[in-house]
Amino acid sequence: MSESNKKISLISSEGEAFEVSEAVAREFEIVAHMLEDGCSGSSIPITTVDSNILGKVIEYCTKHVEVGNVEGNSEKAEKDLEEFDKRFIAVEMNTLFSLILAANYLNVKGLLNIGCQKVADTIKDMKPEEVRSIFNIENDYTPAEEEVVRKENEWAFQP
Amino acid sequence: MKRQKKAGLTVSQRVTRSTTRLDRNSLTLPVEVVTEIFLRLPLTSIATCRCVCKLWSSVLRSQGFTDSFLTKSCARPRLLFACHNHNETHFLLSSQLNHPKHNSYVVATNHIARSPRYYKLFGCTNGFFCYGAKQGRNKAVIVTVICNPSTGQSLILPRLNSKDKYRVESYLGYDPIAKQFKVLSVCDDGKEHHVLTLGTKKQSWRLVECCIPHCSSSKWISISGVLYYIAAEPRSSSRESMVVCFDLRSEKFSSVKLLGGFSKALPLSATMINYNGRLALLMSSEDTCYVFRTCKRFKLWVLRDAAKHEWSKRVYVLPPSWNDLVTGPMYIAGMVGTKEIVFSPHCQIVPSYVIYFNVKSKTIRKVGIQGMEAFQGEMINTYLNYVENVELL
Repeated sequence: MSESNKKISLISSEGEAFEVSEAVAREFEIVAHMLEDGCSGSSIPITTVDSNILGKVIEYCTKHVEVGNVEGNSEKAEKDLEEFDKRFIAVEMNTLFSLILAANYLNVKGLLNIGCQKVADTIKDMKPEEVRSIFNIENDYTPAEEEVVRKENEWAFQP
Repeated sequence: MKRQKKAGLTVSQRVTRSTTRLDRNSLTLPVEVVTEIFLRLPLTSIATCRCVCKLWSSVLRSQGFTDSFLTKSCARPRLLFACHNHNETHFLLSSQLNHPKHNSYVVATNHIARSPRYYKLFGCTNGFFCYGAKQGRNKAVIVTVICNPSTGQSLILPRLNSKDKYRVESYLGYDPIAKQFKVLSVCDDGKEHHVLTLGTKKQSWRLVECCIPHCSSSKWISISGVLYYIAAEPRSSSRESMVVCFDLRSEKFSSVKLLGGFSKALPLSATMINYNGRLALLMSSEDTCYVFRTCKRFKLWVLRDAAKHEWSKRVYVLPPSWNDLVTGPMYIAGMVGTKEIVFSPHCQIVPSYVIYFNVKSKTIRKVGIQGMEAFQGEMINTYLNYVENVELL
């Protein structure tokens, strides 16, 4: 049996097991490091990620491993992957944040990249109040402080 | 695990409080991830984000973020245009093309107008622009203004304590090791050298000693912690014939002889260029201030060894198509990379443009600039390789 056929179980925070090939599991850099450090167990608990999100991250990694394995016709494959990424990341804000958090924790660089870009594109033309509501951030400036910081950055609010 | 990670990222007590409060309602992204998002935003959105909360503001003001943003903008330098009307100085930015094709154009945006209007433009270093403005009505003096053309933030430096406050040349240098900007102002016919360090609490001018007699010029550049400017020997009829080097760390002066020695004058069109990290001088073969359609070739001197006064010399011959494209006087704006010389018309007339001369492929391309309609007939100065800097003054 070649090494790439080895299966690994990833256990979500709810205890659900996701069986994936080692190649897919290695897309999670955190898992790759564990395997290199001699972690021999075939099941790895991912305690901070729930089943829904873990399933999505696995879907993302599986697609990227698949495309990476196809030889030739790279331009079309690249375009397909771009399309896949675009569809994959078109989710509502809470899911997007969960995906970014999981990608950051599991160290899946490609997913972290498209996730951050998606958030940046979303907030690019927003006002501070709208950004606060997206990130659910409470305004901790006093009115006087806010006036100072607004004044300092007022050039950004001019049409 | 998650909580530990978060605690490790908090910046201050207050920050911990605001982060935990957020947890009640929804997910909080760690600062490192939010920073990744910030790095993908244009400067105007970064300004908006500074207004969101104190944690974000402190992240966006940190040296680490400033450095990361600068690294990103160095990968995509831009064109900067500067001009003035009645009482304001105007800046516009556009993308900067590499190897432009036929009939390509860029769009100038990010229009920012700031008072005071300039009396004299000095130039640009690492995202900050330096210009001189008149202050006072009867006995006007020149003050130096530092401005960030991307954010519009500007700072008028204190007046110089000098006999001659009118004939001032200011140069803006950046020391990449100390991460510090310093302004060098030369006045009284090159007899007085004043230095001011930006970012210090009490901004004041200091006199520095210089034992190289010289008259400064308006041609300068800051490369790797050294300010270089073209200077002349202090005789009334003398022409520019040396390069003065000011080391921004040690604040010591030195000079470099030009090719052919001190006695030989430099062509008037000579422009200072950063050629792959080295100082270079680019000039036309004719001894005129501007470059005309009759121009045949350009010379490039690259400084190989300042201590030994060693330069290497190249000559670029213009192709015949130069003659078809150039109508009026142009000046050398500089070089994009090491293969393309860019020229800008002495007086921009709408539709505005710049001209690229690719020295390798010997092609001439005109690149249109849209969005400058409001400045018809104005003197517009073009600066190449402008990088956006988020740092606040």
